[in-house]
Amino acid sequence: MLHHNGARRHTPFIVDGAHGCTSFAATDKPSRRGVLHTPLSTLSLIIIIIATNIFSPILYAQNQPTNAQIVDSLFIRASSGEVQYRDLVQPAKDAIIEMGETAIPQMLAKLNTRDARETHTVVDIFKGIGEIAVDSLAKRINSRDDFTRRLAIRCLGEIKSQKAIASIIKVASHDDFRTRAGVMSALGKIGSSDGAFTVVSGLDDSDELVATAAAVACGRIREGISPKPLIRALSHRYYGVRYSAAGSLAKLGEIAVEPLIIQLQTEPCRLSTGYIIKTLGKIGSKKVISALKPMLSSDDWAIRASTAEAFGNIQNKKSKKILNKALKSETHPLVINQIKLSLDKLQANL
Amino acid sequence: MPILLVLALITAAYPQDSTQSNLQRFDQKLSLALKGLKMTQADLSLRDDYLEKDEYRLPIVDSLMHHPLDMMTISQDLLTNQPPKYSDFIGYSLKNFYLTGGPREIVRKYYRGGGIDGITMYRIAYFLSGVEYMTSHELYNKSYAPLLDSLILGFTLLLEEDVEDEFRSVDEIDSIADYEEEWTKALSKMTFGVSPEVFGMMGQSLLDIFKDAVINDDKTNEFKRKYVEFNTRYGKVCIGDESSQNYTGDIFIVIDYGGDDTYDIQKSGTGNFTFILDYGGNDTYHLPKNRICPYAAGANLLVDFAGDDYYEAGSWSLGAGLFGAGTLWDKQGNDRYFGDTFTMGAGCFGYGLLRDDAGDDFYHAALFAQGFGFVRGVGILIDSLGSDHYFAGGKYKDILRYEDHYISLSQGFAYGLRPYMSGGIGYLIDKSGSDTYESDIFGQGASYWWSLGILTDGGGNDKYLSFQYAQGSATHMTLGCLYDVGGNDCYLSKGVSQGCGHDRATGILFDVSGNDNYMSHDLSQGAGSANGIGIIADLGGIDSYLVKDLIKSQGYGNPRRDYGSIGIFLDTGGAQDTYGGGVGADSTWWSGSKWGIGIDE
Repeated sequence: MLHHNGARRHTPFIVDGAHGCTSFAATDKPSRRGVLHTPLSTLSLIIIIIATNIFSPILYAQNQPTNAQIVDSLFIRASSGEVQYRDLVQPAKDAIIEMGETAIPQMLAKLNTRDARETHTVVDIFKGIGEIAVDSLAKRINSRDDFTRRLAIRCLGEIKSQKAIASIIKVASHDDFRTRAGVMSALGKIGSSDGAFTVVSGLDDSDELVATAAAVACGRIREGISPKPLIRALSHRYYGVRYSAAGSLAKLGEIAVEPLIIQLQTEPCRLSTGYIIKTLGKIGSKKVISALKPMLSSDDWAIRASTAEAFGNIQNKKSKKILNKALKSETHPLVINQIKLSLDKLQANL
Repeated sequence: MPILLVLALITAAYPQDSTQSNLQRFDQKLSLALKGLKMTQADLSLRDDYLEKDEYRLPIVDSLMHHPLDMMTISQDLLTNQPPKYSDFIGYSLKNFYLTGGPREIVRKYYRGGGIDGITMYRIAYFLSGVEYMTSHELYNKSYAPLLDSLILGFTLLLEEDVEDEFRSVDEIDSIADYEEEWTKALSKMTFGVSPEVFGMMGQSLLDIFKDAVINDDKTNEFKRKYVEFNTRYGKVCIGDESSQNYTGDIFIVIDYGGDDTYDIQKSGTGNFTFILDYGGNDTYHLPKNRICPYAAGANLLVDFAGDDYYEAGSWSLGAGLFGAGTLWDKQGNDRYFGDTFTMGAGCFGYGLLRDDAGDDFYHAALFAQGFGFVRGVGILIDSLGSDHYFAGGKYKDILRYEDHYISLSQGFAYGLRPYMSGGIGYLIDKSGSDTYESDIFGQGASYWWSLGILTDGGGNDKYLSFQYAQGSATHMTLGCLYDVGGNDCYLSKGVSQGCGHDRATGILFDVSGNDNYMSHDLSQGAGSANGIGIIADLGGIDSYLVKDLIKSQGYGNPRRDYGSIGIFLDTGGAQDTYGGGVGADSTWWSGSKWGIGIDE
């Protein structure tokens, strides 16, 4: 089966058949029909399992499935990808989350999954379980298994507990760049200034994916983040870092305006220039109008396009006037397109 | 610059074209588009290590992840040069096979009668000697038999589908998935240190008969008997004259000199080799339908020199190599090919080639076909002349996504086992004619998981019909390219198509010339998704572009993991293009999303 093949009848190891021939052909087919067919809808099954757990002390004593079995059964549904079972996904996740602390041990055992769908499901469930899972997840950060470690960090980031920061920072210099990127991302999601030093350091990581995650995290943390390292990151070799740094500078707001304008006036024609202009526009301060206005006369059409886009974000009558004037003399199709988009935007908001 | 190499290749192949100026314009406009996105060509690059590399990764995939525009160079190269060999991808080579010793001495081991001429003797000796060459390798030692059987069974389980799957419960499906995962992990251990690619390497070397003057001499027939048959340790050898013959059973070699023949080949365990040379007639081939590939750890060759032929098979044949090599070469005639799974140019730990030199042909398969590459595999379908029709799908439902669509994974498609094994190489090369390509889910120059899928078409007014993940589409750290040199073409697909890269993957649709029509719903026509790169480039003609979704197409990039993707739309030749539904417009530039841009000039 595509993504899901086989059936549980063969032992998946060395078999002693005829070498490369047909003697173990048709008759040896693992029978998928041999797997149990259940007429019971799986949603009903979920309800019955949970209801049994809660309301039936007699059954509870006699045939009670263990918490691990319940979690496993629900997890199958929660991570199901088939279109016909899609309606079961959220109720199953909710049911595990509802189990709370009792679900944690079995969920921790799933941290080593390499399956993308299961990974998303694990994250969603731990996010739902929340704070009570933090200590257990924090211990898994020291796992030697790369997948366990990375997924534990990711879950902690989604839970957003400050309690996890110290444990996460301990692996900020891990040899595995994916772990380091996960650290930056998690610290950003937690959003505490306790992570500020680490994420700013991450901007200088030799790996661009770590630097990208660090740049994003800076914008999420804000407190304790200086604009300067982010401005430096606007010249990074990788567009992911540049765009993310620009986005984070915009989130820093007014404190970034002055250093950005200085940078713009110092070095007006670099790859970073477009990002500076874009960021200033996003901050939307009136102070930037006079700094940006000359950029609409740049010889470089890309600079003019960025500036036109920026003025669309500055909700001020002056912006409209400047753009209308530029439109009269502009000849480059992208800049014209951008001016019109910005004028439409201003028209709608002013 | 890769584009300059493409330019040189195309110019050599189509000197009368205005292709040169088209391509120069493309290179220039691509740089401008990137500048508009505040990027450079250095940003059009992905990595080969987003996840830990597995030992199955092919070097070409790693290289193209870093330099995805090179897919255009390769696509053009495939139209003008001989198809690549298996060793070109694997990274090492073995000593090539060649016939040593006198043919008569080789054949005399099994046949001491008369009536076989020198040329026929050579042909038989070539294959007899070839099998001895292959089976002398240490992996044919009996001690490896259980391991090979497990590998073959394991990969069969991973590749085969069941039409009953759509009726299974969620628990059954999970059980099957777990079982497959156990197999995959076990197979990873089994292949460690064994190099099972040697079957494909040796097999491909043996089947590389394209320049062999004696095998390819269809003018000389010195066989004077009506029919000769004898047995060998590898199976039955049959020689037929120019009258019509019926070849039935477990056959090792057939040399047939003409007539409308019928083949009913069954493999029941004698050996994993079949070689057929049929020098004429309208022939009917019924090939094995075993569940387990009968040619695994072996090789099979079918060369049909003339006539309108009918090929009917199950899975694992019609030019398929599973731990081995398979070649089907049809030189002339309007032919019809019917197969199920892993067929018509398919490779896994091996090399599969279907080569059809002429005629208007029809190819019909269900899955993993028509230029398909799985783990450490290369699958190539090359059709040189004629207006052909390719169909893949219609049998196995796509239970993950839809209730009314079928998986194809064919037509220049490659696939890996996420997250354990990187995929292979799938090429569909159609050099000329007005062709029709039909797939449903995954196909037509596409791939999934660390693989490379290319569909390259040399000319003619072509129709490309699909539903999703098609026409220069790549999903999950992989590469897909649809390259069409000329003609007035029609492209139709619902989404994640027509130059779309999803999840750190690059998908390119590149159409060099002609008045073309592109129709899609969303996430198409130059769409980057989840840090992927999607490029559509049409370099000439009066074209029309229709999309349903206003935003998510025609130069669109969306954010994922907190940063962007890259979507580029370029129409660099011909005014009066028509646009409907999306952000694009004739003779202008646009940037409808943060990481997407379009240029029509």
